[in-house]
Amino acid sequence: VNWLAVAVFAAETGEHLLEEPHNRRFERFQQTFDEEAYLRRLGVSGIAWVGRDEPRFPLRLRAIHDPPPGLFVRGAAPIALDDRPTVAMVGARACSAYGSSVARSLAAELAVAGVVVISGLARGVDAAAHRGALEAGTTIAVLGCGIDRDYPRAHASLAAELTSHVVVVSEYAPGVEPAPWRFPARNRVVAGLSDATVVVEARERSGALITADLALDEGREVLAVPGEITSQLSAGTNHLLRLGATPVTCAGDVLRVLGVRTPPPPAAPALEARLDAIRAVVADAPTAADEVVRRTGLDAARVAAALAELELLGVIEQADSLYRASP
Amino acid sequence: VTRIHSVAGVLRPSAGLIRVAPFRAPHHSSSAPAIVGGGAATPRPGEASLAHRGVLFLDEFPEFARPVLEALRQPLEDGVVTVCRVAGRAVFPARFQLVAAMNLCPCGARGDPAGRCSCAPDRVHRYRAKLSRALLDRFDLSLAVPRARGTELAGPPGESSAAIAERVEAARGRLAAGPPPLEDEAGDLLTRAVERLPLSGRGRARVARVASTIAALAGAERIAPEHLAEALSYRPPRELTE
Repeated sequence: VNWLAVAVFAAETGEHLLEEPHNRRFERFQQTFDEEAYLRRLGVSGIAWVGRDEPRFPLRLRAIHDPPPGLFVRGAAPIALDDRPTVAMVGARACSAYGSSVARSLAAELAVAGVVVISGLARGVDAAAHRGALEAGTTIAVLGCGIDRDYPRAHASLAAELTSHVVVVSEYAPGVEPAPWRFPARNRVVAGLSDATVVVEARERSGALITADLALDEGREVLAVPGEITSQLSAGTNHLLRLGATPVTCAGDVLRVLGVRTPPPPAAPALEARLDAIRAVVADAPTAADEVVRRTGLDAARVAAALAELELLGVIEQADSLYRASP
Repeated sequence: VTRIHSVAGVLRPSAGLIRVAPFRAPHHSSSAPAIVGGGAATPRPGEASLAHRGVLFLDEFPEFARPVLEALRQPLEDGVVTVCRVAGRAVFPARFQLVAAMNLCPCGARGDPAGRCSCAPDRVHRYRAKLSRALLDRFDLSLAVPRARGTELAGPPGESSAAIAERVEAARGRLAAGPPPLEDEAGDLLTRAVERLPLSGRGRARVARVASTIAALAGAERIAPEHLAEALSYRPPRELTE
């Protein structure tokens, strides 16, 4: 089977093809399709093609029941995933500061441990996961549109940064527009490439839960980051936990599931007493600077100074003018 | 100041010399010529010049048109506005203190632990993207002000303005001789901040200046690490500059 012809034909007809179609239209298409010229054009735009029957095609993805015909690949590194652990990190696009901070630091720690982090280049959790993984290692972005598109547009620079380090893949040929139904299809590739799927924040009926379902269908591990029970953004993840997903409270939880040996955690740096008192206030819940002043009874200037120092030390972080402990 | 107001035609007859620092708060629908000066035939001074030696207050900062915001960069840097028209070229003084207020998102609930923000991420992004990094970089102090609590609103008034004015006068006297020297540890902290935050060249200079003001207000001889750390906490938050 000429899988490239299938993928390009699917792009032209707007279909989602997993097998070679047996119709006149495809036969005519195959007669006029110049594979070499097409590959040359792809090469000029820095895109490679990996067919489903090629040895370079990821084993995990070939094992799912509806693998794509192949993957278009943009980026420096070749996909050699088979001997490395892979983890999908997915979650809400409109995530909270908590979600994006957790996604970022989890992804960074997993990347340090040699895990390839896979996500969908969407806003929110996806973007945070890619950014976190980029700090320390490898990440793969799976697009739900043609490989030549940057969607969403706001992430063009993130995608460019990704391609200069690692890989963006898509089952869709150049020119395929983003369409709502392609995102669940994309999610099956995200889940299919991964040993385990971590859901960071998800509402009920969210795309991230679809990814989790797809992972379960393929017998892959599903993990979820617990959230506040009052937060709608955590309704989906808490629901997964109730169904038996492994809770994630640190990167070690994910690594244990993968069977990756974990290095001992570095000892937390000792803080001066004045800084530690303020860290303790912030560690309870996201807190505005004024609230810290109120709780500690300290002078506002002192609190501001201590917060800035703690932020520089990487012990706390700040988003939307609220301070919280770094995960 | 009186002459600027006279040229603009906003001087009240028989009011005499203006002796109080002006306070101008133009509405956010104002055009660029209205803010920085301009006009079809003869250039007139805008709000920026009317606020010369006073305060220009822009409420709902991101709601101003982008050209207006960017046009403010020149006067903020040089203290003058140059307006060129066919009829001629005019240079108006515009050394004002810019005070701007904004919500963290269009609905205003973000940053409030009790509030739930209903804005789509796209909208928040567009709202914040209105403020360019170059513009934000020109602010010395940026402060998050959470919703006031009931008990605070009902509480006794804080320190009187007169007492604060006295402290400011004293600090000005101290600074007149030049900025206080930086303690070694404070210098280290600044270097770390430049790398970690990251801080631009202009940002670094601003932090150092704010730190010397804080030290002077505290009556200190030298800039201590806590003065510098406090200055760092007044940098615009990262989510606005990224």
